[in-house]
Amino acid sequence: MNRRAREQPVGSSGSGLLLVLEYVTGCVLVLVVLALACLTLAAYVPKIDWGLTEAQQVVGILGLLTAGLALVSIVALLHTRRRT
Amino acid sequence: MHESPRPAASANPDDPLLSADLAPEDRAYLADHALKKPLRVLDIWALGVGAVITGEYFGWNLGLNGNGPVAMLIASLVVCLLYLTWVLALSELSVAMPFAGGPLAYGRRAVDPSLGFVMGWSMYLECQFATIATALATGGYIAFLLNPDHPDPHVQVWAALGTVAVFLVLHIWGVKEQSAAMVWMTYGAILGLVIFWVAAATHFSWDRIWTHPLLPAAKGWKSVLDAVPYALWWLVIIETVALAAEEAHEPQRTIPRGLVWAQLTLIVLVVLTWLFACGAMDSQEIAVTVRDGREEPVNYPLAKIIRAIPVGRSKLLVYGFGGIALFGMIASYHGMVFGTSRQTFAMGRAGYLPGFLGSVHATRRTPVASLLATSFITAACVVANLRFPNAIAVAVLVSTLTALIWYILAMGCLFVLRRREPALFGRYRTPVHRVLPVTVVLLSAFAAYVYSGIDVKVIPLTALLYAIALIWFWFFAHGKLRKAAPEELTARQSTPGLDEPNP
Repeated sequence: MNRRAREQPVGSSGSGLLLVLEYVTGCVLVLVVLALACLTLAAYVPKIDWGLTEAQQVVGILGLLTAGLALVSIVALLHTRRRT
Repeated sequence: MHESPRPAASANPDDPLLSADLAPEDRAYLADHALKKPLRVLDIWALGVGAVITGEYFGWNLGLNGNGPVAMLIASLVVCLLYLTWVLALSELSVAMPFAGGPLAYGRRAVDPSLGFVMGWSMYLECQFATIATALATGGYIAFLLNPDHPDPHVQVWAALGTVAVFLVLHIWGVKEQSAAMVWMTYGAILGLVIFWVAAATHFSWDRIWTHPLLPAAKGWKSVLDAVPYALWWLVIIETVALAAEEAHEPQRTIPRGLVWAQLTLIVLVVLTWLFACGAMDSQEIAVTVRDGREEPVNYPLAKIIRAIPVGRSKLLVYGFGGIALFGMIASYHGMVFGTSRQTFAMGRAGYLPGFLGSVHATRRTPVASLLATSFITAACVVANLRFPNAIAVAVLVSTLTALIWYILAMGCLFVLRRREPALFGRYRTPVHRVLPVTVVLLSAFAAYVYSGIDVKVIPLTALLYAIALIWFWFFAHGKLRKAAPEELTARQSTPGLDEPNP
């Protein structure tokens, strides 16, 4: 390992923006897990009325999953960049 | 086989074993069982993408059967998120303990040898069954190329056995040589997918994707659950890259960067392959074909789509694509052989499996015995496929189920070690420190739960394989663990009380 890499561990939080992004990402991941719990419930109890059409539910869960993927990707890339 | 001591284990100043207060015979044992460290970010990326890219070529399509494209997309994105979070959390463990034993080392250090064995065995089963499925699918693509109308099962088996033999020789040759081959095969596999997307786009229709109703009326949201076990096949095995940490240069940077870039590349490949495949052909036809009044799984879906659409009348396209698709299959096969052999090597080196599996070639430093043993098992299962036509589906499901088991256990190890030995993770920390590993556990548990509802019953087979392994461990291996193996040595350094004779 070179000296620069020794000074700061890879993945340590460096900036305020990164901390905010991590917080938002964490919230979205929690929402994804909750959505999957609802999905499982809807699979076994299909008569539950969620107040949304099937298309709205599908778009909602696709949007949530896409947001989760995008945020985790951004945070992961920021974490693995070479620091100066 | 290992008469030539080399100081490879202690050549790297960051080697966690460097500071170990070792007896001369332990140092000699480590040096004699050490691997080279030539892998960089591009090699890790290629290993990650290449190991998994076979998932784009076959296996996932079985999840479309009765579930439709929208359910498959939701299941696929859930799996993409699971794997993205998983590789990041795994990087933390892998960098902290950069040993070929991977899960064996994590379980051993966090709890005890029993957990290490269960986790190591889980990863071995995951890789071994993925290797079997991929060898068979490679043979299937070759049989399709030779006779697109009626692929011969015997040709499939012979072609699969040829693949096993060729890659056995390549792996025995050396890790750097394999890695260079892997980079080029990965490029070829991606080119094959690009050709498929372009060809499928000529017959694309949104109506085939955005169906009415969006989810099958008879199943509703249950269709998403049923698609998940097959969606896992898109990305399973990427964690074999964690086993490369022992052979990686600067693992604290190489492993996370390589894994993240590989994962992002794969997510793009997954979405585009799903989109163009389902847009070009009815999803049910991609999953199964009816032969003699019986439904049979389609083992070469992309080739089938190309052949069915108007541009597929060009023989050049059909055979050209089929030939390039082989890059995808063999690139993945290559990565899976890497994972299978490294896991058995590490478990043999540490005494969890027969000791001869832990030996390396005196000059090439490759794990010859473990390569021979695992390739033999693959070849035997390939031949057995002649009697079991559902072998690929079963192999895919056993591989993904055993993977999920050790994902959950690995996250448990991460939490235990973070609390007990925070200094261990000084070189790399995963983002979203607490929520991310919890997400991995919950998504893995969700994916494992849905196995209870699918048609192919793999749980009894998987349970039997674990039972046999545990009998071996408790009655034959438990008292013979090698203290000088890296996984054992670091575990004993961290918990001095363990440094006593084995029971």
